[in-house]
Amino acid sequence: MTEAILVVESNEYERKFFHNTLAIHGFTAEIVPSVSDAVEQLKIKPFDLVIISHFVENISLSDSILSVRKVCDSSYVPIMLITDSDSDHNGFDHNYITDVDDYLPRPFSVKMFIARIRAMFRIAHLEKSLSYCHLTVEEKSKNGEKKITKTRSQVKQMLVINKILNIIAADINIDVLFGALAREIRKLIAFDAISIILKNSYQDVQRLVLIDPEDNSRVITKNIYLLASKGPGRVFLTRQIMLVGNVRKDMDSQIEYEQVLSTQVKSVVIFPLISKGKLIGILNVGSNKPKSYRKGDIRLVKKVLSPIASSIENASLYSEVKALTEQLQQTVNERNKEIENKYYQLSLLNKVGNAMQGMHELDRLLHLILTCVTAGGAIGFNRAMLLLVNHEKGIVKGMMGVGPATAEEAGRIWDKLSKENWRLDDFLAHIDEYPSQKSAVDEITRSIRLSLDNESDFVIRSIMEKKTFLINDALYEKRVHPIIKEKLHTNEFVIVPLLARDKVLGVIIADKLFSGKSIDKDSIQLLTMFANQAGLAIERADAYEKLTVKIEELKEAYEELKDTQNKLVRSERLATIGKMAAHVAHEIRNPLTTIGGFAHAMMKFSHDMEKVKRNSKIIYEEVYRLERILQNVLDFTKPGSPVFELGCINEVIDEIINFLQDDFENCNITLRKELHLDIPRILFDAQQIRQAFINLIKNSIYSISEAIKCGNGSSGNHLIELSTTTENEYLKIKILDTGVGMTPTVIENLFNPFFTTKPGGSGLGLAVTHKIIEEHGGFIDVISKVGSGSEFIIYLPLRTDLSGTP
Amino acid sequence: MNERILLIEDDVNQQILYEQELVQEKYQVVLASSAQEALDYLKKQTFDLIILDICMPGKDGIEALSEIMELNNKIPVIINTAYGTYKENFLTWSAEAYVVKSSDLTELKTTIRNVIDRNKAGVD
Repeated sequence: MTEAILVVESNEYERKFFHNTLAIHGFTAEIVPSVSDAVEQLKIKPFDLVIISHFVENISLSDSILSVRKVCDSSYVPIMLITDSDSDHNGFDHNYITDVDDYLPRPFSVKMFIARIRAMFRIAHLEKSLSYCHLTVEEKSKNGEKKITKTRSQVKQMLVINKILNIIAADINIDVLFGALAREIRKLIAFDAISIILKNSYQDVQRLVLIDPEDNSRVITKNIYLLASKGPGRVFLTRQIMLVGNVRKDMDSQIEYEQVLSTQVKSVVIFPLISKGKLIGILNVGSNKPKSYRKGDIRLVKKVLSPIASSIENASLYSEVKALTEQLQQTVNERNKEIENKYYQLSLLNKVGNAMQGMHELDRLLHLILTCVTAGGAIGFNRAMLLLVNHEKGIVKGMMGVGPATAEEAGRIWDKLSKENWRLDDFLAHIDEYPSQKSAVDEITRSIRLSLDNESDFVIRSIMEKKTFLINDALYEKRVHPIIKEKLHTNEFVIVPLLARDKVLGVIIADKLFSGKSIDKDSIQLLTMFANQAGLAIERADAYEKLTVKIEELKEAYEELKDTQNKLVRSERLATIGKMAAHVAHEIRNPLTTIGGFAHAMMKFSHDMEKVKRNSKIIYEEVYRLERILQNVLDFTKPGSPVFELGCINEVIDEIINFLQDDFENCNITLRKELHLDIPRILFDAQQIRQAFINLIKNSIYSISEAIKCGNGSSGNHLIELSTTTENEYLKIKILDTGVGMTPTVIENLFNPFFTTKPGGSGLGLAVTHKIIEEHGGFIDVISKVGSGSEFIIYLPLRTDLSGTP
Repeated sequence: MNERILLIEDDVNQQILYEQELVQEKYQVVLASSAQEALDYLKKQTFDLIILDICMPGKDGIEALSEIMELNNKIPVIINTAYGTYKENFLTWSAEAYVVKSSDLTELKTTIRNVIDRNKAGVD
């Protein structure tokens, strides 16, 4: 290829020169006479060089260069300027130098001219290749940038995926998770609204999780119904990404999109969320501008869909597990609480049981029982009444009642209890300090008497059938005792039998009138358990009470025995001479006082013969008494050893009857004699036995005379019976009278020396009798009752042989 | 006005003796043969003084004394007994005076006067 050169030369001669020279040197040349011709030529075809030679036109050089340059604007064409040598100093504008590529002053040789042109072309060529190089470099660098951008976005994706994976690892609930996911997704795709819809495998309702478009920190969760035929719902079926350029055009589904994103949304992309091949839901991204999303954006998000799906499934599983765990925990807690409650109640029952078993006083025990039934912390009834069965009388009797009579009182008590915050434990600890106050309920309860025959009454039925009854409509119930209905105003109450093994001791009646709660199964069950314990405790307390009485009786008997023993010992001691003397001195002082006193009076009133006569009679009586005392003392202290001889007791008795005949008659006493004629003769001291019997029979006569004095029956009705029989080894002599009889105390002391019930008696008569019979190896039995008489039975051994005598 | 004395004594002859002597001293005497009889009187009547024997059949004087005290009356009691040793029994200490029986009634009479006067002064 040859280079094309355009030459501008006004001189014709010169034009020929350029034409020939350039042609010879192998250049294609076009020689034009003017700049305007040159511009025309440049417009027609491209030139590799423009040579501007001599100016002939009246336009300036600079304008010429400019117009040429203008035409060659699109592709750079170098310009060579040929100047005149003289113009070198005059008028050459050096400014042109920058606008032209080379200049050649005249005169120049052809050789030089061609060399310059060739140089020009070399430079142009180099420049061209340089520019090409530059272009290539530029192109390459442009490609690099693209790659970097691509890499960057890949890195970004990786970061997002990494973040999402991190989010999966953390166990957070779906709200928090989705908030975090939305922030990450925003790095990949711009949106104004974002939401997910989770499939619910159990129900046709779906779960929408939406980032509030107004406040991005807020997550809205709600249940929605999504139609499979419209809008986002379709993705559930197709499982394909769906791009909607303008939702307004899809009139049918517009509301669906707005529902899941926002009312502002215009373009929407919906991604299926598939985890392990299972569709778990959809991700909705929306923009408020139409046609906002391109395939590139979608591609970016597509890559993170799988981890998003996993993370969401993970989170929803987590939520589900968490909810289940919570539910389980709640159930466990509820169970625990229930168990704890039951345990508390049972431990209370146990405590109360222990407290009850340790309590033996029935009243305190009953109070404890009722307090427990009504104490807030335990069984929780408002009022309780305890009724016990009395089988002997055939009735059920109210024993004790606890609780408020009116709502006002109830309020006061609760107020107090809540202030003191007392539970049953405290009641147990302070049961002694907490006195049983006599309340209206207590009084009402104590007035209740029910006959066991009234078999229709619920209380009686509870006792007879050993059953618990819950009465719901008591006020209209005929089978409820009127006191319970009318005085306690209670419409609902429970009757629980108090059982002790197989026996029904009574019932507990309890209500919840003031707390307004109805009586539930639980409290009835608790009350029943409690009643069983209470029943046992009551039985125990009752048994304890009876035992205490028995023990007390035994104690008394023992004391009595001890006392008797002491008295025996004492009476033995009394027999000693010293005591005897003291007693005798005392016995003698009375008559002596009287004798002295009257003698003294007689001295003062010696003129009054009446008084003297009476006083001397008294003195005589007292002296006689003194003699008698003396005789008795002598009898007692030295009765002498009995002189035993075989004889018949009947004979001795006959003698005595004769001796006392007058006394019997004086008192109009009937004598009944039943002497067995065939009784054996035995050994005895007749004199002593006579004395012993006389003392006894005289006592009988005195006793009858006392009875007559008291007006107990008219004289004549009284009798003394004397009888003799044999019994086993003994001869039995009975002396019976219908006199005043004796008290047990008198009987006990009967044979003690100096014990007497007779005014002026020495108290030695029966002591002597006793001594004599003992010395005969016999004994005396006494049977007596105050008001109906006494019976002395003397046993004498059937002895006929002296060797056996004491 | 005559002071009223309740004499509790089981021995009939001593009753006669004391009554005779005390009436002479211008006292009004009411006789009781047993503690129970005396307690019955005390429930219905009032006296200025009680003379109480100890050795009596049935309820003895010591028992009677505590029952008289239980009646919570202000009547002074003089114990009059044949037996000096009862003085040592603290149960007799609630009596105003303790006089051992004697045929010479001077001591008893002096004691009666003193006790009645002292009691009157104390009451007034």
